[in-house]
Amino acid sequence: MEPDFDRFVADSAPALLRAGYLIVWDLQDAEDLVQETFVKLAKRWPRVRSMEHQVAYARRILLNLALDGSTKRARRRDELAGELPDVRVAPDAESAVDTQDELVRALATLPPRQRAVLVLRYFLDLPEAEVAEALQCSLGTVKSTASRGLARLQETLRPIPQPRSIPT
Amino acid sequence: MTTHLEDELRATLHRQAARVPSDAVARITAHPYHPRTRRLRRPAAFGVTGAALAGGAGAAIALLGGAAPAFAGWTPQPTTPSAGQLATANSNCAARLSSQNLPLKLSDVRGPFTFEIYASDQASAACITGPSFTSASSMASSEPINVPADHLDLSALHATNGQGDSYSIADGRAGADVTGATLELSDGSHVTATVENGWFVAWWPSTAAVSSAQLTTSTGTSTQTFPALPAIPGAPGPGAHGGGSVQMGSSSGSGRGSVISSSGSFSGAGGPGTSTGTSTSSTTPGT
Repeated sequence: MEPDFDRFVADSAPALLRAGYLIVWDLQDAEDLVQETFVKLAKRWPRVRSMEHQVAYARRILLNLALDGSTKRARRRDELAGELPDVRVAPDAESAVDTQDELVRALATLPPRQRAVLVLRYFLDLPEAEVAEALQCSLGTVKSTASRGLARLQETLRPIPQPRSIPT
Repeated sequence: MTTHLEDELRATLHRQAARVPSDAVARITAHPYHPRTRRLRRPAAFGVTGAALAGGAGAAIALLGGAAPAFAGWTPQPTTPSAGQLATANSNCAARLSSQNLPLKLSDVRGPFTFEIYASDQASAACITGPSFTSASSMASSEPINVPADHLDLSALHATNGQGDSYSIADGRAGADVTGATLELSDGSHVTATVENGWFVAWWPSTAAVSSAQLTTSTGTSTQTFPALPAIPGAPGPGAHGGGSVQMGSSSGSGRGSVISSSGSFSGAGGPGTSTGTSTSSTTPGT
């Protein structure tokens, strides 16, 4: 094992897992995705190690995997089972994540790509240009996707009670 | 200008992310991902000529004239370690190589820098400790190497530290009769290697290549030459050539390694893992 790779894994795993979880909205899938991200990085490490933005590169791999579709993700999980030790989370681990929040429930209904844009923009606080680069799409696509995502969240939230007019 | 919804969304995402169980991270980091490593000791046919040198000849070392501050204190000859220097290096390197349990084969001290080689029959690792950093690199040794008694099996590589300062390393196996080695570099300067337990190492803060090695053996001195390695187009990053890589960086892990040269080795006739080649070395009496 290369010490610098170990260090990179230790340093970047928490942020990648959190971002992955918020994008795919499933902790087990997120763990699988981050593991697969590191497997891919390990194979490319001789080249990646000299990159200036290693985390951004890892994030891009994670995004590609996350947005690659749930069917493919399930297939990858089966493939990974032969490559990595079984690390499935306990069934009740997911329940540790609070799902009571209204906005949380609304987020869960968003398509993954829409949620990914919002996560990159509002969780990682990436500028729109970096979001576009991470998702390999245009700046306009990022803006429109974010706008649609926010609108959808607004729609699914409970209507904000309007102050009653004072009877005259 | 952010809206109330955007503020709420930001807070909700952070709150939700914070609830990801910490043991999930532990499960991920516990995996053996096995990053691909490249062999440093790829057998290659390097010729050896008999251009014997008069013993002790040495050009003036001018390496430090352009050396980066990061390498301040480096010396072309090994120095005596300061009190506690080896213990500190051993401790730092052991922490970086804890999973490998490789025995220490060599400690090369040059001013404040300690370069160590750990090796078994199956694997080897290099580790360098400086005033503000420790960096280690493991590398597999995939086949046995049979080094002629009066030769070096040399791997040379260039690299950069986290600040982009160039340095070069030459290390490898030393033949059983080799008790000392001085490397002549392509810029005419010389660096004295440390030779211990069948291994040798020397490093210098420049990209000068190794031209030859003046070897001291039990029977005298001899010279082993190393043909110039082919130029590498575009100074590619790691993995572009047959060389290995050693990362040097700060203790914070911000350093980046970049190999821009190649490695090769010379081995004489006979034995597993040897490469073909011709050897016509000559020997002069020791002084």
